[in-house]
Amino acid sequence: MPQESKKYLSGTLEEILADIRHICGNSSDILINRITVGGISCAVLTCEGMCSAAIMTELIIEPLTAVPAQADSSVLFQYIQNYLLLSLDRPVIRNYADLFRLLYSGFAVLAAEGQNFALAYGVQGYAARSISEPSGEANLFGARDGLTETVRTNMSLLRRRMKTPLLKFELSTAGNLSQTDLCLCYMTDRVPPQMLRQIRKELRAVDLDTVLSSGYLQPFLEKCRGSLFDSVSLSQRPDVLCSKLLEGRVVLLIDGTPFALVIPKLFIENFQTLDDYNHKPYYAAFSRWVKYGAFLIAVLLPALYIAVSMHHPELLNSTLILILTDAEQKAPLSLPTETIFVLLMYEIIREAGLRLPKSVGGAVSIVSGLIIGDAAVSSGLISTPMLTMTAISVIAGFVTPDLNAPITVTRLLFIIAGGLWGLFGIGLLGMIVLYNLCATETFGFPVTAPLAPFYRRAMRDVATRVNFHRMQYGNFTVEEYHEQNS
Amino acid sequence: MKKYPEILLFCVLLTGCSSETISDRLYTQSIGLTCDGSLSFYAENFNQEISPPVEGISIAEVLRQEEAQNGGKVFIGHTELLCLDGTCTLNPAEELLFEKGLSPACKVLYARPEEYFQNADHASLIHIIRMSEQNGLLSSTELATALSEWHGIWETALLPVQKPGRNMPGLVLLHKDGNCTDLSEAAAQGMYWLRRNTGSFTMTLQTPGGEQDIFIRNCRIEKQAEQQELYYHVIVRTGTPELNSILQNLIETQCQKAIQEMFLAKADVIGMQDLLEKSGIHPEKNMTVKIHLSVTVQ
Amino acid sequence: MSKIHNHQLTAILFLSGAWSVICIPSLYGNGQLPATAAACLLQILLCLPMLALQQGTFGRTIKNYKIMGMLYIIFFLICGANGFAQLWEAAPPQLLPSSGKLTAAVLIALTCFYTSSAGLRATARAAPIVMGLFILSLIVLILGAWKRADLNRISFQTENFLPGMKIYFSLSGELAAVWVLADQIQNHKNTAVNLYLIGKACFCLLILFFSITAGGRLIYLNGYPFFTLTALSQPLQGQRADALYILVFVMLHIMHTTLQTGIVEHIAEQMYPIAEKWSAPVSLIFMLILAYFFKSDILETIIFYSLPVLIFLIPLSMRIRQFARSLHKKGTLYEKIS
Repeated sequence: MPQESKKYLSGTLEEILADIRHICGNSSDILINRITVGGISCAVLTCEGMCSAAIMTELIIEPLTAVPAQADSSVLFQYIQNYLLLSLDRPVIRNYADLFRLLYSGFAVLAAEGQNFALAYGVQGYAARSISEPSGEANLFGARDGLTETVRTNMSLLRRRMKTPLLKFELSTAGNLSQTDLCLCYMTDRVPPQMLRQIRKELRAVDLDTVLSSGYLQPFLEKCRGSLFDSVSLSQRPDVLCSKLLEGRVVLLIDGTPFALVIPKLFIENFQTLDDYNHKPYYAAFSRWVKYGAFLIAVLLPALYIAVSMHHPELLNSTLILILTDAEQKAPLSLPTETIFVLLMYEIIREAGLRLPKSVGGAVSIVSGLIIGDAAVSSGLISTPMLTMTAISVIAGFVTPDLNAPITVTRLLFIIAGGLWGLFGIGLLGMIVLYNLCATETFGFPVTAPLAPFYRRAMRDVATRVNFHRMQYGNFTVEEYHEQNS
Repeated sequence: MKKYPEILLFCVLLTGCSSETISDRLYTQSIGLTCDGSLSFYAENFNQEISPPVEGISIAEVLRQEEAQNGGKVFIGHTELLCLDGTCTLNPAEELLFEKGLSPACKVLYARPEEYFQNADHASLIHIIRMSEQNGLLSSTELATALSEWHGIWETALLPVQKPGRNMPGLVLLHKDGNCTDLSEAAAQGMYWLRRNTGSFTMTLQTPGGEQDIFIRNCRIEKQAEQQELYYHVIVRTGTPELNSILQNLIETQCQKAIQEMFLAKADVIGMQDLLEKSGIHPEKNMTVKIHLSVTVQ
Repeated sequence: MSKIHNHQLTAILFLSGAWSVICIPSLYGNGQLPATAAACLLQILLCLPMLALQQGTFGRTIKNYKIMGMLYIIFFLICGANGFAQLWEAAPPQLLPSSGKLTAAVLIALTCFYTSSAGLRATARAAPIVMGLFILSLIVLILGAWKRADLNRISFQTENFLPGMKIYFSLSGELAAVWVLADQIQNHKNTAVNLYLIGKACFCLLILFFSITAGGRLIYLNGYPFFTLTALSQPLQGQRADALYILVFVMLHIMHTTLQTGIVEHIAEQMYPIAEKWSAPVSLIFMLILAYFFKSDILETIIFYSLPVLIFLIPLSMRIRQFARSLHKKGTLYEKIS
């Protein structure tokens, strides 16, 4: 922010307007309208496109023009503050930093001759995306509304679901230039106070120029660098966020992005979805275990296939080994190279599918699936069993989309380790990954809880999913998992 | 940090270069060993392709020669049959089991490898042995069991053998030094009852009313020892109680035959040594042992 | 270091002990079974003084008597070196990568370098998970071994009782870690330690039992009963499953070595805070060097003779001192009151 913006408002109205023009460099989006209100010379400032013209006219301009004559500008401001409810959000501006922040947030600002402060009115009318179904986090039975880019709308989505005064919102800003609105949400009766203090401290220490997405702030809240797994989660669903708040977690809403940060995150949550609580317990438990198995398959299947085929074929029966031998005979590349090649091709196709316009996206599936896949197998470049293993692994990875990044990277690493040293290499890398996971914690909460350290009571929602008759008793909060440093 | 992509790429390339592919191996289904001065090694793969025998002074050397001959690493992890003719029993087989990865469940056949592999029907013998064991016609004989028996005081193992002119294999008692004793059919069947066998099957009995089938649910043996007197109690459960008495007589006859022939061959393939050691006696090769046999068919 | 939970303590110690059990070099016969049980009971008794000490005693002791801290550091270095020596001698070629034992040792050392840098807290969290996988592999082993087991091979004997006890003690280097880790435990440390001792003894008895019953005479000839047992006990007929134990082998060795390295780091950090950063890599290098030059029977002999001093005599003297001090304080208080 320019130095001058830290100045307080002072001087005549002309001087104030000149300062404003100077600070913003005569930016064309600042609209200054001179108006006489109650016989006093005033100016109404807005930002182009941020305010609704209809709301401005109805709520600001018409009432102001009807103000009777006043003795001076202080009496005028007193009259306006006490007798005119021009808006529900009416902060008082004393310095240029606040003036510009509010102006660019869609407020209208009223400055008067002879006053060293201005009045702001929340009459935001900028174009914003309406509430729609979240793009990710698909659920069969969950709500269809998701967060939007406007932090205040998101606050209302949470408040509508949690009509309790225990739910508290704390607004602040981050980003020296962007002044992005942040909202810290928590339940006052169950949030660990120490964690809350530490989060506030971390957010105050953020010295970025801009905060354009949740990814900008996530590293400041994750204390473990070098960890493969997230200790802070993202969510777009207000129902999920409310369930996290009930467990004593902190939710951070960020203006400009529909993804909220949830602190802390446990590894086991990657396998929990809202649908688990809509199905019967037996099915919910079954689907949980399918997800656990799918994760292991996604990470380990190609590596195990390579390790067993190359280094430990005695683990397979003779019929299977002969089938694999026949299939691999024509393939010119070694098994690990084939597998890495196929996985890299898949990543390229996935990225292409993400970035391409929707109209062209369908062609990607045809080209990749039919042409590349079928042609590669028919020509003998890639063997069918290996392609099958890789495809199963990739599909299994879709079951836990939150773990897509660590699955992709660890899968490749395991393939290299399995190719080089067989099950020995897989064992070594498995221990490294396990230790990496076990060392990951944030604000004293280990991500491996409640498996490590083990909490038997928590297994009712990890190993299985007990019915709500039992769930209603003994609700847990994350504070139980906090590990204090000595 | 900047060097990590290079290291990763190097590792990726290594995975292609450093190890053999799955199709580079020779997966053997049957192997044979014989020692006539030097060790001879025979191998047959799963496509019934028999490679010419190679000779050497050790297992490592014969395997090396076999690999050179076939252009691929010899893999014996799936080998189903080991053919031994008694000229070499212990050390090569142990080395194959503990160091070269031969399965302990591999069947050991008493035969001359060159004759065995020349026989056109030899491929089906593995399956015949397996089915015979499942159907109670042959006592289970595996490499680990045979090696354990050869390391006993009486140094004799029970092995299947292909009888000329007969489809069904028989049993022999093969001494570590190569001496071999054929077991009669009755004794071979008796060995089934006396050794540790599980599984259910149907067998045919000759009764006064003609041939009748009897279903054997399971068979177990209880053993006890009091000094040099050993008690073997065979307990068989059947699904046809009316034929129990006939079966009991048959089993007694067969078991007695088996014990007789075993004693004549100075062998122990029914766990006598373990029983004697359990009762605190150190067994000796020429010691006199008395076996009390009882059979219960329920 | 933050407090660890009692089930984590049990798991860490058990896994470290399990590595030593799987590397038992030879079987002496049925007499080893009662010897193992007796050794376990004796260890429970020997651990009593350690468990009776107040929390934080170990930390205070090594800060006041640095020579004692050095003694423990050397002991844990020897335990870690013994692990590598056992890897060299015990591991059959099928369980190691084709590039050989030295490569395997270096790879494990590099992995332990990372795992020990994660801290004892990460080790404590990983231990129960590894324990779960270990129990699964034991189930596979038992399924395979049970088919071959002949109960007539088992009998109660007392032959080779003392050698059996000696072997069990020389494979119990992690007992000294009880005092260091019990300092960190929140509560019920007696239960945790006793569970570990009994669990390890049960595991050893299980291996010995199946080695004798399923392995038969081959076990006595081949040595290293666990590895021979895995070769002989196959759950499926058509396949050899002992390659799966590579995972067990790797996990246990890493846990064992990481525990020793972590404890050395913890002790060094308490004595000399400046040593925090380099103590782990230096200790791993020391372990490799010691393992290269000394065979495991020499290292096990050192462990056998050091153990009573480290786990019994020193803690007992500390406990007597604490008791004497508490009596003196009571006496002083009584004088003041009277």
